Amino acid sequence: MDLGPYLLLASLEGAITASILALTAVGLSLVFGVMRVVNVAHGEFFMLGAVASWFVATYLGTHPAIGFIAALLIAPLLVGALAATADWLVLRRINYDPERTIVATIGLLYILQQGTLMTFGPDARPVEPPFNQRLAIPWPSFEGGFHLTWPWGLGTTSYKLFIIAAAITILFGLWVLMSRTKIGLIMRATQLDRDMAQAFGIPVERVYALVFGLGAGLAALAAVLIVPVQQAHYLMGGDPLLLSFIVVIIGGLGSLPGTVIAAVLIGLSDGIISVFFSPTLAKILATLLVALVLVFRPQGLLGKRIA
Amino acid sequence: MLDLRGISTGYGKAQVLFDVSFTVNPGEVVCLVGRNGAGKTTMMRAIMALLPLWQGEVEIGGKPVSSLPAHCIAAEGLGYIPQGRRLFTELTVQQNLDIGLMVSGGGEDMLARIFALFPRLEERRLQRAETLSGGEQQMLATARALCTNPSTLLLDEPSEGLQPSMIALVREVITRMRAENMGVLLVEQRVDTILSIADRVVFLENGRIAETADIATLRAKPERLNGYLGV
Ligand SMILES: Nc1ncnc2c1ncn2[C@@H]1O[C@H](COP(=O)(O)OP(=O)(O)O)[C@@H](O)[C@H]1O
Ligand SMILES: [Mg+2]
Repeated sequence: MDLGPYLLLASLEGAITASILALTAVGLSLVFGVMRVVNVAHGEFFMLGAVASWFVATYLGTHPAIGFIAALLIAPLLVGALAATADWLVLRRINYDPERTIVATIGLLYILQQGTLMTFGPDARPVEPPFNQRLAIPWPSFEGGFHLTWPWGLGTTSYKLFIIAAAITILFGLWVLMSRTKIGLIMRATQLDRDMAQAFGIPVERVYALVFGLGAGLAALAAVLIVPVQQAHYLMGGDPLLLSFIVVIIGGLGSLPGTVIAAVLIGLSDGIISVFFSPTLAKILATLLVALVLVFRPQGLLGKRIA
Repeated sequence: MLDLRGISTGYGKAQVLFDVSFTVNPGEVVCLVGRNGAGKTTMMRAIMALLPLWQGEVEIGGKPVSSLPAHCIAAEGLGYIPQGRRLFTELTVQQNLDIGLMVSGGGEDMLARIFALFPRLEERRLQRAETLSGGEQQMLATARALCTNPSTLLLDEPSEGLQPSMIALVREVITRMRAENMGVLLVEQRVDTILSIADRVVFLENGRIAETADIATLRAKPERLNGYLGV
């Protein structure tokens, strides 16, 4: 294959990474933005989404498509409800104190991880994609007049394209929710000034539970989408957590658009560098980028300086 | 009617207010006067339940409210205009008002009445609050509180940092609200404003009520104010 098709293939893989990462990181960013909580257990909600997806697909799915659609609806709701409960029972009681919430969510991380190990087991388990046609991608050639060629190995699957489309749709939905609905207005007001939100009748604690559930639900949704490609495993939460932190820091703490832009940046470069060089180099560069951002633009790409 | 009975509170272990009691009746402007750090803002925050009471009770229209969570206070009839405006800066003028309207369930007709009071806000409806001038921000903070349809208005230094024309507008709005039988609790440092619109003045000194004076006696001896206002 020439460089061109190779680059396209790498970008496609990168776009999938970016899609999953954007959904996961936006959840983390939302929780940090509104609640000022650094949720160390965020990766475990991702993992739980994948595991829940496996359970739902296994026990409800007579056909892969039915199982998958059920998982897409049920897993995020289950995980979101679990997260909202954890918020209500734990974070609310420690008054959302920044340091204590970090310790509390570390505890939550281990509870969820070990709980999954005890019930789901140590094995990686696949979930069948609902559809998975191989799609060859044509490449233009100008040798001997313009015509399309079909380079061997240049292709993707319909499911991978679906992941990208689904992520874009979900992010658009989230944008509509935050900017065009009453509940979005309430969340933003709470983010901007917690005390004034309360003084104007907003039940901040309930908003927090909702936001924590929504953030976890987004991670779970991302996991449901990726699990047909990646398999569910009780330790799979580590990478998404690390990458989400990287993305949220680069994008600007609490800025949803910044988070999405950074996810695309990191996802695409991760895909391209992994294909042409090595996945390790991609992670090294991403971490280096975080260091540079922290030194030269601590508020991130689109973040505001916190007074 | 807003009734404060024996309120004590503070931050952490540091007590700021000591056994404070007074009443704001409907159609009455009560000025809370005291030096910087006397505890005026703390008083407002305690009334809004943003700070837990150590002792005492807040009653609104005869109903004790200190056991209610903070987000229920606005619906009981208190409209809060905090020191420094504290608008939802990244939201538009309209969205700031929408938040207030959620408390009262008010709609376009209520909004129309408020825009009649502050036509400038209607022109700036879709502008973000942080892009408004200081005077316009104060209008918006006032309008946001009025949107909750309060029976008592709490204003914490509304004329701080405003130019004279805006200070006049603040006074005019307070006078109008009193005419509509609203109670007003006003923290104010300007002697001329206090003397022209207060019905009663409560002097706060180191978190305690030093004295209460009605406006007639104060107008006769305005120099009494100076001792409580020096910075
Ligand atoms: N968030 C806070 N934490 C601790 N102490 C505070 C806080 N806010 C105010 N104080 C203290 O409480 C006292 C009263 O402050 P405040 O109510 O703001 O006074 P005023 O509004 O009359 O100027 C001051 O001594 C101030 O230092
Ligand atoms: Mg003050």
